[in-house]
Amino acid sequence: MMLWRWLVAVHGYLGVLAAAALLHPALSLRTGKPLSRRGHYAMLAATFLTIATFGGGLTVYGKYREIVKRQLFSDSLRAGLLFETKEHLAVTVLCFSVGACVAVLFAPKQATALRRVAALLFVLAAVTAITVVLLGTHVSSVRSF
Amino acid sequence: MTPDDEPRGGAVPEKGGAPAGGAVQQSSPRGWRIAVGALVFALAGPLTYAVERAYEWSRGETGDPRLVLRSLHTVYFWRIGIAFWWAIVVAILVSTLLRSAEHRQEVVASWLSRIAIVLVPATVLLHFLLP
Repeated sequence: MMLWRWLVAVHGYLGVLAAAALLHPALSLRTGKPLSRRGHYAMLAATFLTIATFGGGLTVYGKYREIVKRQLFSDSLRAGLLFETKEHLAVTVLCFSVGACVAVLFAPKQATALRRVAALLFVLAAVTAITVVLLGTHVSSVRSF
Repeated sequence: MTPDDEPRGGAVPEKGGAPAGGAVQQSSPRGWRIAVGALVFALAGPLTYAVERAYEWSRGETGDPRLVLRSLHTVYFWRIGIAFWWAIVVAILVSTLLRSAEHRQEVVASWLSRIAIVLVPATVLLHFLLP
């Protein structure tokens, strides 16, 4: 049980970091200019952080359902439903960050408009990630491992 | 400006200079298509996921979660897998259809932005209403 509690904590901290990190490429790309090498590294780091957070969530998910989820619904139906919402929104964050990252990596130098769309997706991913973090914090305050 | 700060165009080498007004004079069609495909993937994934979830709700598969003693956790994984697979299919189709629209990147980008701005509040609202 201690291991799962630790993994959930790491998952939460990574989520907070990912939400903050996603804002960096959103700001860097807002003009549509190509990123510098360091900008590329920062964008890749933010995307990998998002993937790692999502992967961590998937790792914990099976055991969470087995041990916690039923008790969570017993304690608070609302918190249980918010957990479900959090799961679904996490997919949106993952798709947006991965798609925008690949788009920026492959966009030609002249494709400023595409980079601006990628910036928009990073903004939306960051806002959604912050929502997911808030939901996750609320849910874990009701019931966790 | 250090070598690390020099802007990079992307994975595909470019030819020609920067165009005026966003129009592409000479660039990499392959890089452009992959970039458009990636953006389409980003939008199609959450949309497909939301449709799958709404379909499950319409079939009444969710029920009262307090009455569920045990359930498969793989449903979530399958939903994600299907959403990703379909998003990749849509991305390939759209990027193939738009292969000759490179010179109209402002129009394509404008449509993608509009879809993103509508899609995110809609999916967030849907997931809050149908958790």
